Amino acid sequence: MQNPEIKTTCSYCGVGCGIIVTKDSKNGVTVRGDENHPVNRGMLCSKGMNLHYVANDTSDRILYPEMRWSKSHPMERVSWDAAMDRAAAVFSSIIKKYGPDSVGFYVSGQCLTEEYYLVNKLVKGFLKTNNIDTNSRLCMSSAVVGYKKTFGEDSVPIAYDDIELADTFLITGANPAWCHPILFRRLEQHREKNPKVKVIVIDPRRTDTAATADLHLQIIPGSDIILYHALAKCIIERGYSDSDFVKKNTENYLAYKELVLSTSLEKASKLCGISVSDIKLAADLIGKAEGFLSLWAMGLNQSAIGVDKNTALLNISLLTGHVGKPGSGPFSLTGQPNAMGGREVGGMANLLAVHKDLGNPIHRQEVADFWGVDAISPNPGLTATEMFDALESGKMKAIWVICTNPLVSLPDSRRVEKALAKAKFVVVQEISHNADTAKHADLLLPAAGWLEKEGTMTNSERRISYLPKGINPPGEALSDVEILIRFAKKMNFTGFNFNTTEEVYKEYCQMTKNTSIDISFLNYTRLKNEGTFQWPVPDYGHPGTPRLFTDKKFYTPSQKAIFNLPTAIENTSEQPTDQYPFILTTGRVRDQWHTMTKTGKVSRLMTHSPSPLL
Amino acid sequence: MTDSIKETVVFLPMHWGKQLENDLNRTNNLTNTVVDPVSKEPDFKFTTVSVTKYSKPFQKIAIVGAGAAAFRFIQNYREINTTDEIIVFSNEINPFYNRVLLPEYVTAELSWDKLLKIKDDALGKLNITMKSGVGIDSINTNAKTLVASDGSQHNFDNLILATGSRPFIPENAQLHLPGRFTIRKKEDADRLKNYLDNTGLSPQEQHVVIVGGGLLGLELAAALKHKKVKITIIQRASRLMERQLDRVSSKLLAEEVQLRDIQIYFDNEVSTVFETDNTNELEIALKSGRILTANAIVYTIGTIPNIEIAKEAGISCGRGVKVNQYLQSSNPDVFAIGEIAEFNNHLFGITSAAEEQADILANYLGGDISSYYKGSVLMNILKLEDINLCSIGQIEIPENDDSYEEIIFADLKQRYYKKCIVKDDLLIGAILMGDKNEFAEFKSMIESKIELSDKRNSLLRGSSNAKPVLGKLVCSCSQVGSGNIEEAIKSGTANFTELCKSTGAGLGCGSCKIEVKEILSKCK
Repeated sequence: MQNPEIKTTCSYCGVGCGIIVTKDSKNGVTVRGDENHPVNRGMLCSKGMNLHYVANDTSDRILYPEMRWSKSHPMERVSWDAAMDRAAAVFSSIIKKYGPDSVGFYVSGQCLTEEYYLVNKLVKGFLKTNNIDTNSRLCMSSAVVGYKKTFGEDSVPIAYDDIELADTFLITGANPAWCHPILFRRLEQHREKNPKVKVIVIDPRRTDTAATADLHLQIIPGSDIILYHALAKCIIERGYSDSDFVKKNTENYLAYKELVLSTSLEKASKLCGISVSDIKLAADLIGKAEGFLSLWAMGLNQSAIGVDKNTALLNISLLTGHVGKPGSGPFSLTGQPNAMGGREVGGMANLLAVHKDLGNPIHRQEVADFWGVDAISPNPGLTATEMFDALESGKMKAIWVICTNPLVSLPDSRRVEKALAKAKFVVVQEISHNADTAKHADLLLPAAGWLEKEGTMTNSERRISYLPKGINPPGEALSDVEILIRFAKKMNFTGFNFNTTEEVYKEYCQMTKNTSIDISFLNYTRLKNEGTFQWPVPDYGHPGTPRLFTDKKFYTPSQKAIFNLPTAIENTSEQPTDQYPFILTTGRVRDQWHTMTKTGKVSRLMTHSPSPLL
Repeated sequence: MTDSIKETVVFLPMHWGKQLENDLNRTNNLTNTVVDPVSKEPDFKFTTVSVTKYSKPFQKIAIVGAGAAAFRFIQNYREINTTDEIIVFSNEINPFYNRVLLPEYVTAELSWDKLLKIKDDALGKLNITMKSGVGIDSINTNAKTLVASDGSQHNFDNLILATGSRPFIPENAQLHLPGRFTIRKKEDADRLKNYLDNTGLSPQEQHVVIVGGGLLGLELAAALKHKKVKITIIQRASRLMERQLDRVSSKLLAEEVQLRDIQIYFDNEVSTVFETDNTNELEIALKSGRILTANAIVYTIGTIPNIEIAKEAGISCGRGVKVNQYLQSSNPDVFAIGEIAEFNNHLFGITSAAEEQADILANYLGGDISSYYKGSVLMNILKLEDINLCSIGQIEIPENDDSYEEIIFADLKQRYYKKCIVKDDLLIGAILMGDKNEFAEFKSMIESKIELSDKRNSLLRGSSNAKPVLGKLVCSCSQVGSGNIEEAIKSGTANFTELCKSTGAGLGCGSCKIEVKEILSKCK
């Protein structure tokens, strides 16, 4: 490599910090924060600054393809050619015998955009099933639906620079101090310089985030919507709502107003476990805000009423008119580096690429035409949990898992384990032997990891960055793009004649033309030379778009944002009983990420919280 | 009770998957399968649960052996569980003493009291049945019974073998004849002591030949030399402590030893030992032809694990009893700890390893599967007056492998020598000679396998934040005084293990742990 310094992006959370990688003479690498990167300005969190240990330690890596002829046979090393022959033969015969919906792909928000795009094209366009879902389902699918219902499309309107422009923050169901540390550092620095900045945190736990808040509302889990309605009631009654915006740019306000005004503050106080005065105080803070940002994550999304929680929170931004202007807006935090990229290419079972809808026959045909296939199946695909249900019931026979560890991350793990054991054929495309799921593979494919392949990712503020390949993958590991192309060719599918990852990206960029996520004027050359871009980038030389909806025109048919009413106000999960009196809530610790197949290798990161705890 | 979480709400992090095929630590075993009807996103944040403390059914635990491993197990286990029955068999009359200090006992520098790990009244509180002087003849793993050397039969639910090892003795050593000794047990020490006393010679007139230049041999040599006894060491290898030290430190050590007027014969072995016409006098012929006249000969040339009863019971053995990460043998009800435990083809014949194993086993039998054994870092500290020397972990690097880095500080004239071995940004080994200031720090860096990062460039560059010894010296390995320990307690360290870690006391040979505990309980 001529240039020993490589600019890339961190592979952990959705913040997307810029990293500069330096290679040493022994092919090892070191990392430091990129001082000139607009996201982190040189800062890195504990996970990011130890990323080089993960890259340099290849002791846990899967080095060559392995497979077994049946469940009773041992795993044995095979060539890539034999592995892909086997995959194609088994998938073909299962599809022939049981139909296309008997197979499924379970992928990941860590996949790069090109991989995500390609696997969706492969499955939805050519395998003719929509059974492709991602671990993002566990993470932000509720936020996707919330945005779509409110703004017409899945569009995060804000830019991180709004953090320095806002004066009031509502952090709800998130612990960015631990889980999105660099954004939180920026918030902290902003507060230091501007003492009048207020932070409200809603969380049943007194997290590090909550501990630093001006106001911590320690809520009873599941009662979020009631609280948001109570806040909205106070905002309306005290005259804080932006009636001009509401009138000109929103729909369905009257129904919403009627609903929230019917909320009893005393009742809400009791159901949420928060005093009436605290509710009023929070409403005052929000009402008086000049720039109001709402930040949320899994606390809202991972819920039986996750969509309703999302729309209820979004409604507060609509009510106060804090959308589409600097320092204001709803800001969903993503936990994975490319959850956003996955959303753009239609990574989930109910989506199609470029924000098109699987349920819409016109959209299906447009996508089919672009890919040069007759049709896309109208059957909605199975979602993450449904896929494992289907494996257990025998409806689905084969699953291909890419870059995720469902055996630890999905709910009711023992059932997932049973489902995997029951599957006729399990393909696991992974980097690490430490992933519990790899042990269930009938075919194990070694994938390249961070810094070992090129591609693009999108962070939580729609910022697209290019990640170059800096080092060679260990053993025979291949990039996910290469693996998918090889499989497609073995299946004799047309439309996979890509020589490079860049060609995959070009095809995808072309597809975005004239959509609201248009990046048809973006390419690898611009990303390499000019750095990162926030989509859309719809014109030659376009600098990218920091903020959406600045013209107050939304992507709904009426171009107005919509006040959605919840289908359920109270939580629909099973309520505590005498036998099970406690509510278990789950989450992460500071220095670990997901199922620890990467962070678990770094001892420095194991010392903060070395063992499981209650 | 805490206000860091809403009342009736509990929180579990979700990162951990299976550990050693066991999924009890996996949070998502519990979460329900409810999903949002539209987004289909699962509800990880709301599952109703109940929380109860695990209570373990009553068991009878039989322990064979009463050395460091057994003692540590019993102590720790009783902190977790006070109801299980524990019966201990020891073929020694004197259980639970500190073998490492036997050389100082021989020379009467230390009284027997000082070697005891536990006083009688404290032993009583542990609520165990102690069978002293009773060994084990056989084990029936199917019936879960054992037969003791006094003919009695005992049943057990769990059996812990902590039988330790015995000295290796050359075939021609003829220990039954007068003047020939080994040092393993109190009786051995007593025999040697009485023998030397009965010679009627003053210490200066006595001459003891020690066969084997390892830790025990050198410590015995130093202890006897302290009394002015004339000492000769016969070493088969070309240098001292050849497995624990590299060439340079070994050479420096030999210089130090010779400076103390101890004669060392390298590359040499004993061929024959004769009694002469003079009482209490031996003539020792070496393979090189040299003949030495001495009063006693002591063999300290290594040990052999006592695994015979395990073998006879059909338990899988290599050089030791093979165990898994929970110290479990091939029979799930039989466990092995200490010098006999063979983990991943390694035997760890050091006290700190035995105690580490005992801790893990106590947790496991107490019902906690989350800690498991990963092997121990080998470490050796030579306890010689005014010689500071220790080695930790790997001490030499393979040739032609540039992934290893050596950092060496050497002042050979002053016999100062320090070396660190780094691989993949981890400290994997160190030798400290001259002073042991960095011992505690390096030991914890090696054991925890924490990436060095910035510390890499300050290794051995004098930036060590070692504190001077305050008050009476308690731990000689790490150079920690009673004042240092009291200071740490005052600043809020109330947990014993934490206290050891923060002060460095007790991390080496472990002999001072009782004293540290006493200081802790006094300060409380």
